[in-house]
Amino acid sequence: MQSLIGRGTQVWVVKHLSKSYILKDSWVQSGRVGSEIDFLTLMKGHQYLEGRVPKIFEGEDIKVNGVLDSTGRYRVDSGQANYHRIHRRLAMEPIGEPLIKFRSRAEFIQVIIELVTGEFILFYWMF
Amino acid sequence: MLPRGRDVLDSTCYSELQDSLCHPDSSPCTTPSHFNFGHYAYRGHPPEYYYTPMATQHRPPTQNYRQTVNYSALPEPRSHPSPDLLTQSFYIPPPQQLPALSILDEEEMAPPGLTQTAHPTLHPTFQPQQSLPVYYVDPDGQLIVRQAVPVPNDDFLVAMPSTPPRNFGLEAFQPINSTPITQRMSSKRLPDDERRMYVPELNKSLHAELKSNIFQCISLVDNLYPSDSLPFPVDESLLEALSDEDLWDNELSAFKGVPKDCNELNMSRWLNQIGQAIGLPFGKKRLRLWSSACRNLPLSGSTTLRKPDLVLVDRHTYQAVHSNTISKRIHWFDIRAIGEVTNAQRFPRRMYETVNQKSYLLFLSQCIRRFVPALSFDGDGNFSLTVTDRQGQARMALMSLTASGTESALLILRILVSLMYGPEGDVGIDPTMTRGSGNTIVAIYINQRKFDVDRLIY
Repeated sequence: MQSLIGRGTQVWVVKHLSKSYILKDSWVQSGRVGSEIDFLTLMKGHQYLEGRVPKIFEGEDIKVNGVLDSTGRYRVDSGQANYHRIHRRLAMEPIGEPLIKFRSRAEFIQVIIELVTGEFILFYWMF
Repeated sequence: MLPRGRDVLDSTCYSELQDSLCHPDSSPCTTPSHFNFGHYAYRGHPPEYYYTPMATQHRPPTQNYRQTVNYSALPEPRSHPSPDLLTQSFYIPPPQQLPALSILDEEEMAPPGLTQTAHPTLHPTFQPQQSLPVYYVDPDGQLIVRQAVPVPNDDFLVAMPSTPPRNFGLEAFQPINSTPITQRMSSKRLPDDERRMYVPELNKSLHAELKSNIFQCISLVDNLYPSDSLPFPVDESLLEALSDEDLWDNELSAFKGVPKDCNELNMSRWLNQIGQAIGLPFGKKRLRLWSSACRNLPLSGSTTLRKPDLVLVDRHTYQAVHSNTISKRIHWFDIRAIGEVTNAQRFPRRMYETVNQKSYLLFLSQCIRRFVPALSFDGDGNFSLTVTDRQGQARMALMSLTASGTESALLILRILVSLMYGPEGDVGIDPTMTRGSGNTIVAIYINQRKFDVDRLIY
């Protein structure tokens, strides 16, 4: 049973100029600190993060007819600006395999080590 | 000045900090009375990254600051509980005798006769986002209160003599700056659970989901369908055009022919009639029409059987459904908006419930959906618009179709113009996605760059 309220995240494998990307579409709360697009753009090209975090190709807060697609558009007088949800979409690479599809324990451990290392690098780099 | 951020990770400063910490405050303790915090053990981590345990034994201040801090107000020191008591049940210290927070070494925390690792278990209710105030005293004797956030680690142990109650400790800790714990529909069933969902279960889940997310919006229609984005202007001249079609009474300033028997068939006919008349002055054809074809036949495409009273569908779908030769059964992904009618005098509770159910099912069956507009009509001639989206629900106040005056008439016309003549974005469809057959998406745009969809992952 999917939730009605929430991010409603949907993920597709898409192609652009015969290259494959992961496309993520979600409704994020506007009160959240920072944008995933900004973070991934900052990380893009960092030498130690190469291969450890997704690489953003394209990202946008969706606009419909030139207006930001937000649930706050018609809740102007609600006074809950932080709870409004913004429609955000981004395309990233590479396309990985699900974590549960490891072929050996060594491969699984290696993936976890890479993840943890990436998190540590991010922590020291950003803070 | 206490170090922060990366500096605090430096273990060299820890010993200095440890010397500078003590417990000058004797404020009332907010800790659950049935738990003794004196059994936490920790070592080698800077104070800002764990929370300071509650000591059961008064500890004199460190030598350096003894002259500057007045500890006369502190309660009398008390001894540790006996090891026998600890192994049998929780030690319950009297709250008024609990001293303030302090830092103790592992050896000092261990009760006499019981080593610290006698029952080393990570506390099951431990939550990393919890925080507690920690009291420090700087060399000048000034009290500093800070929030300390614990992190679980191997050294963070607690002697747990018996299984704690289910809500153990939760009443004492209020998370700060963290996502509140809420129960969603997906908490009750897994997202891939395809079993049929019956109405009572669906109602219960939707009620819990929406109860704090329904907003009565005065200017909902004005903001959702602003005047500058309407396909054509909605004003007094449009009412004149309706008057020519014998749908508007200029003398009474009211609609003519509003169905007295507010059933599905009558209402769909009247709405389509109004919709046709408002497009005539501008030479436009209706892009979408209201159909009551599924009032007796559940829609296909969902395991939950529901029959919306009115559905707004594209013109070609409407023609296929109402064809005299081969009639098409409406699928959930054909629907653009929904309508509910009742002969009851005022909107009964079930009207809102049924709008909730059908809006939810639309979201499930259409991945291209941004919001679901739903029109409701009651037997008194009132109407309302409900918009359901990923934030919850926004509802318009009730307006009357039969009352004299142009305000409510222009409001319903504005809604109908947007729903029947407007672009797909007005009915809640995402215009930055291109639909294929059925519910499939063939292309998605980001910054006007086209991405061809290969497959949906989830």
